[in-house]
Amino acid sequence: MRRQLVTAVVTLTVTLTGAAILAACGGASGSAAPPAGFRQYKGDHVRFFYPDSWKVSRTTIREGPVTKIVGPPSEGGVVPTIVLAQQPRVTRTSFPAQLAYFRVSEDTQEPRPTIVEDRPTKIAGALEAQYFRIDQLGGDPPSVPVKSVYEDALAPGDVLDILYVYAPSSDQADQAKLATVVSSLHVG
Amino acid sequence: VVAILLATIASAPSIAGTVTRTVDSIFCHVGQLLGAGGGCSGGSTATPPNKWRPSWPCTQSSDNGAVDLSVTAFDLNLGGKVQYLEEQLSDGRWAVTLKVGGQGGIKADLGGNGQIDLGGQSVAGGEGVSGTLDLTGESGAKWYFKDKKAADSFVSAAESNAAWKAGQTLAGPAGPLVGLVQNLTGNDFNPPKADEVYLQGGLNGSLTGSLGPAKVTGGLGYAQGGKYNPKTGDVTLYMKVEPKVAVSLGLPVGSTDGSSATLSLLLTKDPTGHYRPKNLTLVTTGMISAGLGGDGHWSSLEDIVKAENIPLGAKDGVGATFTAQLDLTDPQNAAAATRLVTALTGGNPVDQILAGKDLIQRIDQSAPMSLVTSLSTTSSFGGNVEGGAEVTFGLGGHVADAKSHALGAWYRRGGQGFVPWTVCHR
Repeated sequence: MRRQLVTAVVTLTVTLTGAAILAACGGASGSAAPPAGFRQYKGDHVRFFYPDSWKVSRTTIREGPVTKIVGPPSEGGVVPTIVLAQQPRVTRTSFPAQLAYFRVSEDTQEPRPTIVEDRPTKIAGALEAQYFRIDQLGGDPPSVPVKSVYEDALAPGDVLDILYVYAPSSDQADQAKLATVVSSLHVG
Repeated sequence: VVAILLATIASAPSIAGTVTRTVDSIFCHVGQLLGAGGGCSGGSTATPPNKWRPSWPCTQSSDNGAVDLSVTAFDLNLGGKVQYLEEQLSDGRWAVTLKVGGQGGIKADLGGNGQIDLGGQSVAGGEGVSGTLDLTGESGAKWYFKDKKAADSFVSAAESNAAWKAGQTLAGPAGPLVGLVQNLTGNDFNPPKADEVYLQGGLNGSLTGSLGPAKVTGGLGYAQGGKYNPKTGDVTLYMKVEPKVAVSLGLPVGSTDGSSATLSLLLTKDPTGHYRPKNLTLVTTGMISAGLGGDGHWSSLEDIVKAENIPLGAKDGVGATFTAQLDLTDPQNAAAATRLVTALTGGNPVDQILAGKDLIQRIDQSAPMSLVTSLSTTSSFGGNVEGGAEVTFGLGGHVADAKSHALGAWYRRGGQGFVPWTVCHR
């Protein structure tokens, strides 16, 4: 089945850029008290802050646990979302391949999302990490400019922690919240 | 792998003016010149480049607990072993593949055959030579060397690695697997950077598909594995076709345990940095009995399929590997491949059969293909000697203690059938 995700060019907000920079610099430890309006999510050797009014659910994709945290629908029905996934058995050897995998995944969607940034970053507790900033379209049909951050963090124990957040580009409030989420990621 | 296969195959750039070549008569005469036999039905005497000759090397021999056939494809369902295999390739190179994988511990046994068979439950619990390591990761790497000397040197370095032999803690900051791999990839005996890295699973790629803002399904979620070339950035995605399904599609796969059929999609980066499909490789394996492998009489893929009716068994210890590689820059081929992948992942048997036949037709019309038979010292071809049924890496399945060599090799020439693939023989 051909994927329907549509790529869009979206404006990167100052807040998200700030979050990226924070993430690149190691971000918050995640062990500090959450700021007002946030609570801390604690998973298996991973934690971050998330908006306390958002709804948490859990599922499994393949063998990996996936936590999904969503806010109220925003522009065009796009739901601001936080996804945390863990993929076992990822090593330093296979980590670059996983990154290549992801790039291929993005590259082959039609229309194609735009990977705006793709660079190594530092995440608290991670052995290695990569930061992706992606512009794409969301909604059904996909027409709403959405900007996403996708981070791969290789944690001790051969676990790949994946944090994926997105919200409509125009939704400044949720983008700011997601920036806090990204900057608070701590693994290991 | 569904969506990515579909998306990438479908996005193959069009090639204006694709030339349909009538090759039967041409290759008939070429074949006669080469003494390959066959009757001639046409009058052409042109001798264009032989588009039917496989571009891939075959494995002439393998050693030290190696798989017994080529490694054109791979199976990443690693089940609890660390092995290396050393192969002599027909293009003159030697390849060393290291498999690292584990489910429930891996037993260490650096016996006389050089097999690296690590086992146990804990890193620190090792005792003596057959110490224990707990390797839970699933990965692998492959290196190519220009000659046997270089490959042997690499293997010797691995074998003599004190940490391996003693079962000492190899753990790096991320655990024993990382430690082991680090030992293999640069911290200990300083091997060159791997040419290929294997991995399993596709959660990473599937996330944006299944959980993204546009309700996308697929992504890499169906991928059984992948292969990544850190030097070129090329990615190969891998999908295993269940043997029963393969048979129903008419693919020439064996019926014995351990038979396999795989589809591998090679993606390369274009000048703009985007991935494009290059080819789709079909590899099937199976045991064959005497009488099938020696004459190379098949004239079409259809005939190879008929080989399925020949009694298969392990008693002769002869394995067969069929490989076909379809050029996906040809839009017709890309369309056929798309249909098959769609059908394979859609679950409709009728569609699968139709799509399979369509793809076979494309392969039969245009794809280089080869058939290699090889003899192993063990009859456990394709199976798993010590454990679950998925301990295979590379094509042809694992054999615990085997040396193998190619018995015969053929490639298909259009209109002529299978002719000897002489470069594959030593």
